Amino acid sequence: MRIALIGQPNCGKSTLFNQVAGYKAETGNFSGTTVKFTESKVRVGGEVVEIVDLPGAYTLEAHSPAEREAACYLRSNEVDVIINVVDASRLALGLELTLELLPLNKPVILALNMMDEADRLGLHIDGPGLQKELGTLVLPLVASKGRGVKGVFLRALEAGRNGSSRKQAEVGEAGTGKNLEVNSSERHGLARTLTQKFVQQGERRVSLRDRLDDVLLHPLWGYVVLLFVLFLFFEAVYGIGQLIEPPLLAFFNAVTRGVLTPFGSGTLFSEIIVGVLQGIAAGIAIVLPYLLPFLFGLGILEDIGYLPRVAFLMDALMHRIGLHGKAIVPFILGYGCNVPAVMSTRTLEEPRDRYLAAALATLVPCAARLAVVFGLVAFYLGPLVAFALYLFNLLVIALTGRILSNLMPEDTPGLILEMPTYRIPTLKNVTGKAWFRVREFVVEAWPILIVGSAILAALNFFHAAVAFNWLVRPLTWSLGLPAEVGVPLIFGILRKELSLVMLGQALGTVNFDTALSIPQMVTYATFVMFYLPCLATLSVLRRELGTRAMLAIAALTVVVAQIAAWIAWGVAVALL
Amino acid sequence: MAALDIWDINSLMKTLLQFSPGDSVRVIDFNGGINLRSKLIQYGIHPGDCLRLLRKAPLGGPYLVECNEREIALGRGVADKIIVELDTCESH
Repeated sequence: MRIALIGQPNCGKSTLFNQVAGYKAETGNFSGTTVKFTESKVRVGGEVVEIVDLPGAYTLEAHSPAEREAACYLRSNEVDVIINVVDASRLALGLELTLELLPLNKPVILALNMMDEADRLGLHIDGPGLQKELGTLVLPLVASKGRGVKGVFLRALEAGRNGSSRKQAEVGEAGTGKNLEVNSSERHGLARTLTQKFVQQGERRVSLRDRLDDVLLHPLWGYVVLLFVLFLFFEAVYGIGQLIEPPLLAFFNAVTRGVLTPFGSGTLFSEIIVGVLQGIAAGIAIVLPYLLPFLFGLGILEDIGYLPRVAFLMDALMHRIGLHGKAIVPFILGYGCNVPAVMSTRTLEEPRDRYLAAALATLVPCAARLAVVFGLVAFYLGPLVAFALYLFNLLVIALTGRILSNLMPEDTPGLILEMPTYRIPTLKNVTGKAWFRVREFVVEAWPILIVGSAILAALNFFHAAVAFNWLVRPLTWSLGLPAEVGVPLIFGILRKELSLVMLGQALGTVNFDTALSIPQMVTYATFVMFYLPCLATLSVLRRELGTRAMLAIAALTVVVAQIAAWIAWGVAVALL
Repeated sequence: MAALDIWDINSLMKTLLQFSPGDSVRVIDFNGGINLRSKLIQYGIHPGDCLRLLRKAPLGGPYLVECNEREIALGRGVADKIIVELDTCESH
């Protein structure tokens, strides 16, 4: 038997799923974070059932790809029972979707979630009355605290065995038809009538939300808090990263030596083993120290409900680069890893917005590219220059966005975004979501990283890599860089942090200031910051947007990198 | 909701953009295509509904409105396409 969970964004559907399924789904407080279905086998009352968590949708009339997926799936024969999760504190809204689900002629369990929140708002819901009127089971639920979860699934199992009731089909017919607007208006009216009949408004307690929003959305303090939050966030991430990374690297160096001892060094086989080990180590050294704390922190911000506030504050600025506030998420994610950043563009409705946001997000320096900026610029020229380079990066992204958005005129109406209520994040949700996104890196990027590292080792063994220097000589020459940097630039596409490691190998020294002048270092770091995203990002771009878009974005990044590097060179010559 | 004759009522027609935080307005119609119309309805904003303008973001940022117990941020482009009239919204 297969049970589908459906509900509107922020109704707590994924929280319910996680309660029974463990850490399989991504749950979020930002419209449409569950972009893939997540399925899990669960034992309910002695029977093993499959539970599918569908993307949050306000209606079955599909608007975004996420909603389209959910609607298609529900209509298919694969679903036996539907559990419709509704935020009890906003029943009128949730019932609109329920009224669309009833005509599907499948058993529907209406789970009124967040009953505690409704209680706080002074709402008294007549569950039995509603159940009688709708002809479908109505059950109370507080998914975040695990209350009522068992009952919902046991009754769902029961309903799946018995099939749909007749009464349910009759009521649901009010919502069927063809014309979208008449339809949804009717449903809107019907849902409101139902709510008026079965919900009584008692005394409402003063909401903390309004007082928080007064500060967090304030025209001045809102931005002060935003800057402070982002500063703390990145400070914490890199602080944790720098604590964990050195011992990890030392450990892997020891492992590499240990493995090499029985094989000896200098053979093709041993070189490839070292390459593979380095690939594995690089993945761990990026993921564990930087990406995990990053995603964990972002998950907390997301679950609290702060991200939509950021979107609200940043909308005006994002409009200057042809996007709207919602597109801020791929940008923030990009600082961790571009792979989940590109994937998160799925939550944008318009293809043009997805394309533009993905193109710009690949220009955001990820944790691996940060290693280059830190190792080269911050180390030799000081943190201030590195910081300036980051500001320069933002400026270039903004300019690129402006130019691109002029080439692709905006036909979208602009930002329409819900501000959810603030919630206290639960450890379960936050770790679950961080894991979900780390998996994207582990599955998409890591294998490519390991294979790339092995190929590189083989090429090095045959001294074949040097030939590549001449392939990109026009480029390196035009940037005023020595021919040797060709190899690290090309193979940096496999692993961005290699651009620094291999620079040392190519130049024959890790004291970069002896081999490169200051403007050359700045030029190199700037070029690495922008040019071609890593292979893993390219593959995700292809999957999300198609081959043509991937090639176009790749070409764009090279052009942007070239121009930005020239500018950086000019500034470095003049100032440093 | 027949198509409104723009020339006829242009001088009378006000959009959400012209109001300030604290104002309550009633939605008359949407001055946009089916795409915008269905999106607004999807977020629970229908002709005839009451909107309370809560706040504006600075520098041409979005408007925050309350409608049907939900708070929705609307970009100014969107706000300019929602035709509204001032209404205390107390009687339903």
